[in-house]
Amino acid sequence: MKQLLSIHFYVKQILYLFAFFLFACNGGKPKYIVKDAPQADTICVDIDKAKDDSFRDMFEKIDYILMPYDSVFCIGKVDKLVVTDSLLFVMDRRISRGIYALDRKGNSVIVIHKTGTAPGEYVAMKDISYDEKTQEVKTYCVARKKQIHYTLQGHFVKENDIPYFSLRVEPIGDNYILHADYAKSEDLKWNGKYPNLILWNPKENVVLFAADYFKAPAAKATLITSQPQFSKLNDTLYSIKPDHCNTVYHITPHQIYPAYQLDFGPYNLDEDFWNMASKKRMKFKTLDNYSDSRELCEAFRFLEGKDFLYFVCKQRKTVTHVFYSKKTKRLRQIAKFKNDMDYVTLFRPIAIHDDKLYCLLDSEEVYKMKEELTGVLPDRLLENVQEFGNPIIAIFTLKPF
Amino acid sequence: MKMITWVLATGFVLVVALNFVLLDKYKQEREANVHKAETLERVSVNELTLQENMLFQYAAEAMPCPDVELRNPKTKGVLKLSELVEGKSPKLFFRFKETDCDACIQQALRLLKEITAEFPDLPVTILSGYANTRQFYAYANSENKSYEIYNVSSFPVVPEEQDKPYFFVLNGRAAMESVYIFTQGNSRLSREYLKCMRHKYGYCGEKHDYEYK
Repeated sequence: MKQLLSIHFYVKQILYLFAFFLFACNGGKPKYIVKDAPQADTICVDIDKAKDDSFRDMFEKIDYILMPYDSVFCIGKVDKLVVTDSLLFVMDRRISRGIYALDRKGNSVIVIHKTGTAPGEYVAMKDISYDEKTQEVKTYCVARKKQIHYTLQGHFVKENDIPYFSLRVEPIGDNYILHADYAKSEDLKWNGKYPNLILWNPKENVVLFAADYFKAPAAKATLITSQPQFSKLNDTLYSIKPDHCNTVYHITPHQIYPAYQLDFGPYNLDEDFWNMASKKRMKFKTLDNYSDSRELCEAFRFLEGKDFLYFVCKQRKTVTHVFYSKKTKRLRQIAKFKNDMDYVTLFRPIAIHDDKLYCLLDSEEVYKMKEELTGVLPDRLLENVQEFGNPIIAIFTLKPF
Repeated sequence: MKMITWVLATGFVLVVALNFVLLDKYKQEREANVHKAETLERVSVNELTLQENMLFQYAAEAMPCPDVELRNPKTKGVLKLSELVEGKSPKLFFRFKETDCDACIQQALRLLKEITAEFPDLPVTILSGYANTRQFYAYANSENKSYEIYNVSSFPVVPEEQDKPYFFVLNGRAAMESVYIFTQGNSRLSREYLKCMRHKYGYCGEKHDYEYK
């Protein structure tokens, strides 16, 4: 009797151990199945219906912020613009390699320029973000694989590791979303593919969720990227449309799911495109020519606001601006903006905040065309613009449609 | 007899012991020779690799250089390239375009900083290639103030076709020579090039047997 009892005891122990290992193994793997996510909306775009339009018909108003310009606040190129209610942050990662903060009146707040390999320094900045709660400016250095935190006074606070090579790094809740683009990471390999959008918990160092948006083994892809960025809809919801993919993904602190599908009808990227893209040593020009030959349509420069989303379609080198109202489900397609600022700068939004699109004007162009722009741009702007000054920020408020 | 036997036996043992000692010494010598031969082979392979790299990356002969207009960030004005070398000693330039590999440019600049910190007598002039003047001013503003920096967006010379940053020396006749294409994987070679230029063009102030004409 005692023996039987003891056997039973041991069998139970083995079963418990087995169950423990089973759950332990499953808990560590990223989840690829989306649960309870809303149905993805399809946005049908008839690329042939684009027309010319004017800024006045599209936009309620355009405001301007003249950025300060001196020997310290001297921006080479705006690689990213982060906008909050009171502050704007500019990342120039290649030329001056600094972070510049200004307020909405155009006063400089801080310039962070800390290149190097020591703690608190960066070698190759790839992304920046701003945490309004802690008032910390964060920069992701791809060479040191760290996100470095600074105060608004520019003092170093701390740095944390970001283990996966990424183009974009955004904190969301207690986690991070990483846009890894086409980089291959053996740690993330799943089913022969390499997920490109990752929800990662830094404390546990665990991938909570991973999405594979590129329908071909990313290991074979050598595609150039436009380096799309996340649109922040609120503290717990981000949006992104990766390159070479016509799906818009939403990211919460718990999962990543497709939110919109851009449908270009007969010009959609299809299986033949993915087969072409996944060929070894496929170059961007070759793939681009292939897309052109089939008149395929790709979307990029995607930005999403609370009430509308904006993106650019490219078909055979022709670019169309598309605005989609989430409330009315209506679409406006603009082939070209006429009679307004096209001769000063192209309409090329680089950020969205509070449903306003942020673009840049070149100071040198504005300076040279002061007379022609009288009446078009505000007088105080024309009086104060400097020939080689920093870019001017233009804020477009869209008319409802 | 017993005595003779002992002597012979002792002699035999001594001979055997001596043989062992000699054998060991021979073995050590042989190993040393083998080690020398292996080192020599490694050096030869490295030398060959270096030569091959030099062939692809380095061109000593002079080539004509167009007298382009440069932008000066200090004066915000322009000047001709020839003005930098007319009646002066040859100048060492580091040239990069904004479209070149950024990692290559940054690595080259880091190397430059290390070398110029080690050898302050090596004067290097940076020739950047920004199409936008404002971007050039922003770059010049952020760069180390100890370098002379100028900008020319279009520089019609053969090394530009490589789309990589490169070094070159402009001589008194405004001809380009000692062109060296910088690549990320060859930091050691790049260092050697810069040290070599320091000696070749007399930046170190040391006297040499040859005279530069």
